[in-house]
Amino acid sequence: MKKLSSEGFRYFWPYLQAYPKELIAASLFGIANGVTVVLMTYYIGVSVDLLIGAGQVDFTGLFRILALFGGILLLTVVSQWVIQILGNRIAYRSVAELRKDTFEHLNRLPLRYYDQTAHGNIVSRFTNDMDNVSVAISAVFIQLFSGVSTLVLALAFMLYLSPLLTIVVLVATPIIFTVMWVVARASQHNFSSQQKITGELSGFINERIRNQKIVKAFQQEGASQERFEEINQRLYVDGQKAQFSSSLTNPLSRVVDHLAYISVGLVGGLLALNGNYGVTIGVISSFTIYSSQFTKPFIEISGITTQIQLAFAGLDRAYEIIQQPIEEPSEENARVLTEAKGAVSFRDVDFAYQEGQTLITDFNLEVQPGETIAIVGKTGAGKSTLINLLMRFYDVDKGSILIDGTDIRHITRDSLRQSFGMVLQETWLFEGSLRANLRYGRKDATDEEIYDALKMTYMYDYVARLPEGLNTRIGDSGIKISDGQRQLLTIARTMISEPDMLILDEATSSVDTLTEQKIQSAFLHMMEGRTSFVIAHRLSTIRNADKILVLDQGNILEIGSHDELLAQDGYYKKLYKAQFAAEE
Amino acid sequence: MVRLLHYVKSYKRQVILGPFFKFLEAVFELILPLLMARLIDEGIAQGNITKIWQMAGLMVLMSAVGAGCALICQYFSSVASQGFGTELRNQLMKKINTLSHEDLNKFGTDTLITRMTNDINQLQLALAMLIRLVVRAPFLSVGAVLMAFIIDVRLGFLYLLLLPIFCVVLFLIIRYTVPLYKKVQQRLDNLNELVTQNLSGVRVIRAFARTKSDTKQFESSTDDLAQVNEKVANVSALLSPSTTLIMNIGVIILLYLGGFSVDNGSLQQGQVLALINYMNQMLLALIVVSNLVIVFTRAAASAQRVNEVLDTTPSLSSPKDGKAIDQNSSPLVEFRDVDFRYSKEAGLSLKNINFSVSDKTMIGITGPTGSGKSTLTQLIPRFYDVSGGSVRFLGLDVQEWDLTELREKIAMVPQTAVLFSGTIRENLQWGKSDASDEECWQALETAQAIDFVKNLPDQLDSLVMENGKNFSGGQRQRLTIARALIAKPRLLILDDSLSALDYQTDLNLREALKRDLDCTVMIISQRIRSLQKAEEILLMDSGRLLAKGTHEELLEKSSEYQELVASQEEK
Repeated sequence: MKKLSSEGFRYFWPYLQAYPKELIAASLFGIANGVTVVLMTYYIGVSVDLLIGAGQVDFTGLFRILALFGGILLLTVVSQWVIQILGNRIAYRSVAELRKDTFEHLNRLPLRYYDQTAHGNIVSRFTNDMDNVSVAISAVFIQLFSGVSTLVLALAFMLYLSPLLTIVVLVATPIIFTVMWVVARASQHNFSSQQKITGELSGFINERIRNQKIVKAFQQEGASQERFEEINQRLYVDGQKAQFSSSLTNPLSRVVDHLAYISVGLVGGLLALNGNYGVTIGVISSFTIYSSQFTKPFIEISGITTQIQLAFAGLDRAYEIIQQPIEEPSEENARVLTEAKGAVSFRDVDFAYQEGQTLITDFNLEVQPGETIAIVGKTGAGKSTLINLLMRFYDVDKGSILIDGTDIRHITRDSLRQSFGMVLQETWLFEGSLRANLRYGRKDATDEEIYDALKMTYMYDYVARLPEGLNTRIGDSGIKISDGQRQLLTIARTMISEPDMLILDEATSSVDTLTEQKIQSAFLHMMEGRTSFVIAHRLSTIRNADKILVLDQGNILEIGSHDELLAQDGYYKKLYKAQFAAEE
Repeated sequence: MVRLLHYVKSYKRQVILGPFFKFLEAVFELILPLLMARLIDEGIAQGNITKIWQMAGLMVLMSAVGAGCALICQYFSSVASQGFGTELRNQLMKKINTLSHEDLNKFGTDTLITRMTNDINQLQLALAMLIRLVVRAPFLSVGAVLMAFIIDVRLGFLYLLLLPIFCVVLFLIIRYTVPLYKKVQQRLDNLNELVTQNLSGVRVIRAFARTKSDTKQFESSTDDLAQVNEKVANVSALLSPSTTLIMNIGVIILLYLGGFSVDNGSLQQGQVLALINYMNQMLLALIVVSNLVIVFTRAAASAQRVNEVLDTTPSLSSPKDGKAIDQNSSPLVEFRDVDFRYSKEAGLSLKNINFSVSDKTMIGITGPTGSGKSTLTQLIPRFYDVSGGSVRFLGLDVQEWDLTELREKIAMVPQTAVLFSGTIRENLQWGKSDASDEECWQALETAQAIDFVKNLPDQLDSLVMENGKNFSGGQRQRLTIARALIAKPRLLILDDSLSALDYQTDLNLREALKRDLDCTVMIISQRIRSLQKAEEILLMDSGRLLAKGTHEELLEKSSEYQELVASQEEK
């Protein structure tokens, strides 16, 4: 309850306002529902009053009232359902819009965010967290619309019947609120520590179960279990406290409600005996019902405080994504890069992933159109970083990168990226047909072009043997393919896209050497005439490059052709010897 | 679901007393309208002020005691349900710790994690609801009926008539919504998949500038989800209005018939009021029952999923009496006519493998992707049992070894370098729980990891994030090698563990291993260069041992080996 004014909620508010028709309709039906609910109670009171005693029952009056009651009942039921339907509509559609906008925002975030945030954490914001919001809206909606008008009308009726008794009931309401507030405050603390341990536990479970085979290899089962039970025990302690403290709200508000009920009986009875206050038995019986109607919305809200708290937490978590600054948009008159010739230059580039930990300083490189640049170096030398900068996944901190003489910051990101064909070590394919995957880079590729690429990557026979050919689905719901085959498919995908320039980052790491050798000519063919950046461990690939860039800690250690570098007798030569000369 | 109650055993007291106190609260709650009726009929109608005070006082007392009972019940239910969940999680984790690789493959990691978290949460919730409501709700409705009978037998039958009508409505709604809820789950899984895919493929998606078409797919999937959700919510929303309808039709009939009863003097005005209150109470309780039914349908599915894991008998375990081991027995490892398949339905992954390894030698294993290299090494620490033949370690069949003892003697560096969150020291101590700093540094030195660890501000105490995210692939790999080295095993298996290293580091590492290590090393590698110095190289292809011998021998006699070497030779 403490978090009623969360920033996430303030952001979400306009999404709810996007349904003015539904909101107006809900208010109208809400008023109708409130009126009918109170009227029903009124007529119950009236009819009970007609049953005065033996031989004194006014049957004509009773039948008339009961018929009226039936009509009102129908109105109540219908309006109740309509409000809930409207509430569901707003609850699910507004959250759907929030989901879409958050996703779109996510798509515009810089790679830095993707690289630094746990993916499971992002996914749960789209599923669990946003679901909690829908559930809470739909639960709160009926309370709000019919609850408020019931409340007002019940109050009016109570005042009309007996102002004195009304005061008795009115005293109860703030007490209920106070109880709710106190309990919610107290449980909030327990809740957040429970959430924290839950996160810790699921992190632990995730890590250990995912790597259970390694746990076994090192006989860490016992130690693992011990750690687990320790966290689990802490979860028990805080979870029990949280559950108990939040479960207090409902019984406590019921007690307050009962006390109001009893007071109405007591005070009403005393007033009735006094006789001058217009309080009759019928008034008292109606009043007990009005008072429970009046407090019911409060009690029901107290029953869903947990849901409301979860929804606010969910909105805040979604808002955390929205708050992330997006990739700076392309300049207004940014150039659309088409048919790039492929002259690339790095000028005085500085770059750091984290402020203060500079990885690349004063980096300079000139690449002529059509050249092949091999990048060599130890792990962590900054090879993949160069690719990240070239594709503008990250922006340089200082200096500039130019393609065909234009600073890449003056080129639209999409056209810059599309002009590169990229094959990476990780082989990402999506769930869908082979055709859709292979056409990913060029939507209008014909089957013939696809088959050509498959032939060059030695995947044609495999695909041709599949009963459904290119329509075969891959991924969890489709056929399973090996890492090597996946990599060959990503190579074919890049071939089909016919890029102006190429980036190959360990492009054949999962392919066995025989197959690799077979597709080598296809690679060379693809690289012909295209500026290419190649990261590879295999020196035979590197040997053919026009320039070899030997990197160490973000700096160019050596640069030159294979023969030039061998003559230099430096790091490259040592590397070369490690692979090809016999070991000493 | 009933079998899981076994885990509630330690909370027997709470599980029995909780509902009992809730029952008491319900009793007190039921009596309230009755006392109110007396307050009206005997107090107000007869002008008896003392009676009014008496009844009111009694009611206050009843609701206070009732509230006390409710609090006790809530306390018991929180202790029992949280305790039950905690116990169940411990047991499940224990079980998972005993599962073999085969069992783990069969289940899959993701489902084990959801069973451990979501499913147990569902069960926990169900137990809490059970304790709080299972007695209260039916008792309140049955009690209301009984009270009605006590007041007026004829009108009591009206309550009995309304009950089945309500049950039919409830049944219809549940029958319609259950399949819809499944559909919601499917669509949600779909959405989950899309977001996950989008996150893991972000570089490719942006490289091909396909963000827009991906967004479109996500939007239609979001709309699909919203649509089903709305539909199922609308149907469920029928429950409350239809309850109101049934309840109030009951009230109309009650007033109609009650009118005659009052007229002929068999019923009093206050009693009619009490009857109306009971009617309200019964049907409100029934709404609670319907919510319970929904929670339990979901919990039953969860119980099934949790039981499935708990019921799994691990497919391999240590023999009861370990045999004596001759530490100097030779050869160290021996494969005799080994056949292996991953599951009964699968084809043979290894066919008729025969070879032996002498102590303190270096063995290379090579062959194309999917030829069975890793599979072969996984049989030595008995991660899987052979389908035919036998694997012997120090002369004893691995099936006769005590599993812990066997695995202690074998250290493995897996293909994917996995570190665990904690410090570098904690990760290294996986290999040897009491490893000293000196031992740590020594292992790091051999593993070629000493330089970068030395450069970290906190050195051995540097934090390792989940999955070792804060280290590069090569650094992770060298740390996992150090972790294995520190165990000082008899047999060290490097499963393609050098692939993320450049050739220079690879070479340095192999030289250091040779220099510092006093054990047998098995290296799986695609790079012939890395294996050239091995005493024996095993060449695998499609699960068969194609040829074995030294580099020179293989070059001479195996055409496949020649081809492999040629493919890696520069031209």
